[in-house]
Amino acid sequence: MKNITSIFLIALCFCFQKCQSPEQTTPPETEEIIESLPYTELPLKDLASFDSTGPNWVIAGTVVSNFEVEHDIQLNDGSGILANTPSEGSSAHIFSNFEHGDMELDIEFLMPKGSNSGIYFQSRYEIQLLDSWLVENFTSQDCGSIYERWDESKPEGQKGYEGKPPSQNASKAPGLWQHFHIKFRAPRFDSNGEKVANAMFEEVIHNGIKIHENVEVTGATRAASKEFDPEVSSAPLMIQGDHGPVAFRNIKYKLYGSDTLTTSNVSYNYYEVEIPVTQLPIFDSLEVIETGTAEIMDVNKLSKRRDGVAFKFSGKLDVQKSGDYLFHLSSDDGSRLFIDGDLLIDHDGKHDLAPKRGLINLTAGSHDLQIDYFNNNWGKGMMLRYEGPEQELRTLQGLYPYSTNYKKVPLLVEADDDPEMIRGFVNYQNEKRTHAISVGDPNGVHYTYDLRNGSLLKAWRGGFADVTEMWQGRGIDQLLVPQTMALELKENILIANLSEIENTYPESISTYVTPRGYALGSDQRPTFKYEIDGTMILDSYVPAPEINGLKRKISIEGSGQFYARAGRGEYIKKINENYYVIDGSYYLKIEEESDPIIREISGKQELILQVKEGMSAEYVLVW
Amino acid sequence: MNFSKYLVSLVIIVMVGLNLGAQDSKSEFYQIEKVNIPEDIVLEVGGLAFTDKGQLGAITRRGELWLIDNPSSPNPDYSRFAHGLHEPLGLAWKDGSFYANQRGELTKLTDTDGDGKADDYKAIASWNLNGNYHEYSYGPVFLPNGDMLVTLNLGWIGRGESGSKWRGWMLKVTEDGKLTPYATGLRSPAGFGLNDQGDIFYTENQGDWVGSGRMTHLELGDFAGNPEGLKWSQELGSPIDVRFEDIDDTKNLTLYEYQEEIPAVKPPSVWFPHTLMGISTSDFAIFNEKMGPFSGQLMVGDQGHSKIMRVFQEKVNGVYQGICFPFVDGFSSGVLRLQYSPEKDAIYVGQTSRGWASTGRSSYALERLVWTGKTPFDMKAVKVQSDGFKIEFTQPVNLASASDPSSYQITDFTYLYHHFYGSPVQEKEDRVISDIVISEDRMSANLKIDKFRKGFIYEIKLPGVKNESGNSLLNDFGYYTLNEVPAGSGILTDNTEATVSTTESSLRITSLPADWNGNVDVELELGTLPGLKFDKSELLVNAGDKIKLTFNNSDDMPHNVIIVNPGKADIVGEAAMALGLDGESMNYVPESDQVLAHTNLVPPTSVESIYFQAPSTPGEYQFVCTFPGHHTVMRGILKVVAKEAG
Repeated sequence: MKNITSIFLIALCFCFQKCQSPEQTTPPETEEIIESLPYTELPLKDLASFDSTGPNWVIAGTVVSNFEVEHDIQLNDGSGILANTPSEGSSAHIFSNFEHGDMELDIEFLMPKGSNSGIYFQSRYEIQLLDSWLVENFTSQDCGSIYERWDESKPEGQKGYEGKPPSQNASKAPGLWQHFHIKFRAPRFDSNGEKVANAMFEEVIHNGIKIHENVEVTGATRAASKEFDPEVSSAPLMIQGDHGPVAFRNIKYKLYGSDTLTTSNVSYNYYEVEIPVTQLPIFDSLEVIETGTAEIMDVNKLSKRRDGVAFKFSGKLDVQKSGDYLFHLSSDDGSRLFIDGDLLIDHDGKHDLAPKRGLINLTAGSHDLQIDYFNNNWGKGMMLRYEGPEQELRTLQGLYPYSTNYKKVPLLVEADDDPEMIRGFVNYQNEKRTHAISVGDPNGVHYTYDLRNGSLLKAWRGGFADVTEMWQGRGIDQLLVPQTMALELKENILIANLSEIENTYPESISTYVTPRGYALGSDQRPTFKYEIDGTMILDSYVPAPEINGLKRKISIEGSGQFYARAGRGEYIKKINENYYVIDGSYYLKIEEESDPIIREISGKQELILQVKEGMSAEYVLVW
Repeated sequence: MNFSKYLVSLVIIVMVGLNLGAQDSKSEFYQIEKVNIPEDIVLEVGGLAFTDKGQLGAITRRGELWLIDNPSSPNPDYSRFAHGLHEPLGLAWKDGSFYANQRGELTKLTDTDGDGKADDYKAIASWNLNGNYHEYSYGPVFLPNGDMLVTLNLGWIGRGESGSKWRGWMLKVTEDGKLTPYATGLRSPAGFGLNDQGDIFYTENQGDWVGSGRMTHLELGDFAGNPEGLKWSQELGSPIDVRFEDIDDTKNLTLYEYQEEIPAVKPPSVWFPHTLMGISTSDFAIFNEKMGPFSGQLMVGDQGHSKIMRVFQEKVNGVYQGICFPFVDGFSSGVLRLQYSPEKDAIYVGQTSRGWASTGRSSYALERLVWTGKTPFDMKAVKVQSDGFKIEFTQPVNLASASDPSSYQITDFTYLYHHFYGSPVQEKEDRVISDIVISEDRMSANLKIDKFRKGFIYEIKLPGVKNESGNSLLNDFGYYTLNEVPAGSGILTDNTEATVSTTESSLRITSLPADWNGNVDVELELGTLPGLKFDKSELLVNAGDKIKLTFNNSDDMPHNVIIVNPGKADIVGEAAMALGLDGESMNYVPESDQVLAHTNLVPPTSVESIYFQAPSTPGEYQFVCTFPGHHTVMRGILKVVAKEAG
């Protein structure tokens, strides 16, 4: 769900976390500044956001699909979900009310078993939707592909061309919610209407995996090519309705136009200050060492020495389109941004390059821009970025000061004969887990596990681990990354001693459970061990290849009665005899005799299983 | 390999000062033997330990623990005992199990079913991590009572940072996992253990707050200098009351002087002057009689210089101090771990240089150091006297050479205690040798000098002293750290105020030259990549171009950029190494006609711009970092082409 702003933020946070110096004083935040301008959400309480369509398109509250049944889609009343339930004679496409050129689309979709659909940018350029679960030899017909173009005049077998399969098959099982983030650039035309640049998919991310980057499309793809030639600069978004049922939710987008912010008449005063200096100087009391003009406010180039420098930059900010602008000011050390003489961002104090933001409504026209900056010692840099109405995040002024052109050779690890374990940091829900172990299995089902919390963090199939960021050079990020699309599980805390069945699970197990490491069985797979008051909790995982899943078993040695929390979410639904779906995110297969309990607690649903001597909790995750 | 050996021997010659009549190569006394590593094993050694069956355990930075059978045989067998550990940097063996420190956990590895593979990975103790790559964890080292010592490296965020509890500390850990903080002020404590008296020492790397490499005697509650660990001094169990906020580096003091301000401060027992001895101090081991005539002394590894140094320590007024000497260099990679063979007749040297380049160019290596049985002519020990130093030799000296004051040079200096990375050499003075008395057996010389300054380092050079065969010393210099002076000294003086010296150079122009009339023909940018690299291998300019070169050092160690004539990077780099004590204050820029322009030494995460004009003669000029140890790898081509007509 993250847009590029927050990805940038994460990157910066890794490099420059914990950089606040104790003496720094900043005014208390009166309100929390957003990290990025919001997406426009497509309201899905009715079909008003769409042009009139066929009765096959409906609004629903929940959707459940039995993934063992072809084209199964079961809808409940409510809102928030757009679903297609085509039938004989009722299989219209659906078009957005809005037209778009460049756009960023964030969307979730659910494919019933065997179903097929597509998202057509400008009604013309299709990203394929298909139930491609487990397909190994995927093509430009599979889910996430940029569908091929079509030339009827060519001989059989050569009619399709330019189709682009995804870089990997990141599909989840049918009936589960999947995610696309797509950055589309519309074709460009000159004043005579001649096309000067092709449409392009700048980025397509499927379930967290980047499957396309900068792929040009020379014209409409197959299904759209008859109706929607020629290409245009603006047209509605279309979703295909004639190839089977499909559901969507959380449809969000940003439309981008050609407006930008620019600066002009930038001049600077350069000062030198005595170090140590912990905040911006009072400029009036300082001698100006140099004044000048500059296109780019490059504090590294304009400084005459390394330490103890300060600048006052001023210039004009030229606004083409009125609206809300979010500015991101990064500096090492402190800085302040003024617009029309008013302080917008106070980023004073000694710190590294982490950004601070300010939101402002600007009218079209010229505004005064002023940036104050200082550096105490060592590295310096200042960069001002912005996003605005129909304007994507761009750098307005300054420069990122560090080299970014270091290319690495990927280092991959596979589990060929025996299970392979690697401990390393992993990213989980935008934070680094530092006591994680990843286990690769020759069966091709792998997982990452948090040894401190006894929780399964990720599970994936295919290639095992990419350890480039751990084993190359110093391994600055020290991150292990799954080679393929990984299911990221919600925190599934190991076990708790719920004396009353109504009791809630604690936030963390560390207060009552001591991690004891792990033991390898004869199959070389680890069993993780935890101790509670002399009782040993055993937690182990084996692939369940017959159902393409990962089987977890929690048992105890010793006394006591515990509950394992197998699943937690907004909703847990039983979809057939042994399968439960958690938030539409993954399935749990639980045998009847395990006696699963689904309970409602703290506004969530939980699926819990009893564990005691002689009775283990066992379930299989399928995704 | 020949190339690097050539370089290494050049270094030796320079350091030893081109002795005439030198003894044969050092290999006459100590030999380095390779331990064969199968091609498919990446043996980036983080720790070494022998099992009770004589198998050598080598644990690697990729988290594997290899058992090596008969490591002294030509092709020893390797079998993987354990894997999947998070960059373990220590290994010990006790009662049938291995113990290894991963980044976040002390782990006990046991093979319970006897199949040669660990099947029990027991977490003895774990600690928080902030997720920074620089949060290394070292150890364990067993104490005689069965408790263990571990040390936790600071993170790196442009400076050392203790981002999680007990980073920057030495801790004691019991077998059942109880953690007790022992001492702090540690920055990069890769080597630690006990000396022959059972006292605990650790070695430290130059960095922020640490002027140079050093080793420090740690007692409960000591504060060794880097203040980051003090962030946890108010936590339960901390034996130190000093707070992070108490440390102030604006007073221009040395660490030794800072004891006056903060009694918990523990100055080092021995400094290893940066680049003159080593650049990244690592593991140590105690000499026994099978390793030469230095029993009880310490071998101290250096990762970046691929060498082992020798340390003699003595206790004066109850305080440890002593001298370091060169010992053996020329290892294949970065020396991290030293482990005696079970027979105590060889030292296994575990090596890695990934991400931290070393003089030995291999990415990893395992080698054995053995003594040939021949005794080199060397300084055996230097002991402080109330009015000078007593130098003991391994062989009788030639009386004439040893009685001649010109055979000796003594210079003292110190380092600043501040938050900057490293320190320039401070307050350097030449000492006057007023008297020399040679012992009757000619095995020692007593030197009287004019002045003692406590907290200073004494460079003691003996270029002229010969043995009876007319040979010079194998290593004719050492650095004695003076913390204490025996009672009755008449030459002890107060320190003078420390001053920071700077140098100006006509080859370093940092502002636009006036006669360029505001014109710059080309702006070049040069950055760094991890592992001693510039981010560009070639820069292209026209002959005579007016150039502004901006050097952006995003690395975590200092570098400079020197523009030199074609093919002269080696000569200039070696000349920089030969600057000795003056190197740092001269930014490692030697006076040489081959140098065309240069930056100063640019600290980590800093930028410097210089202006210079490209030579008028086209050619492949070179740019090189001459920080000692860097010039052989960190370099590129400044290609100057003829300016096109028109």
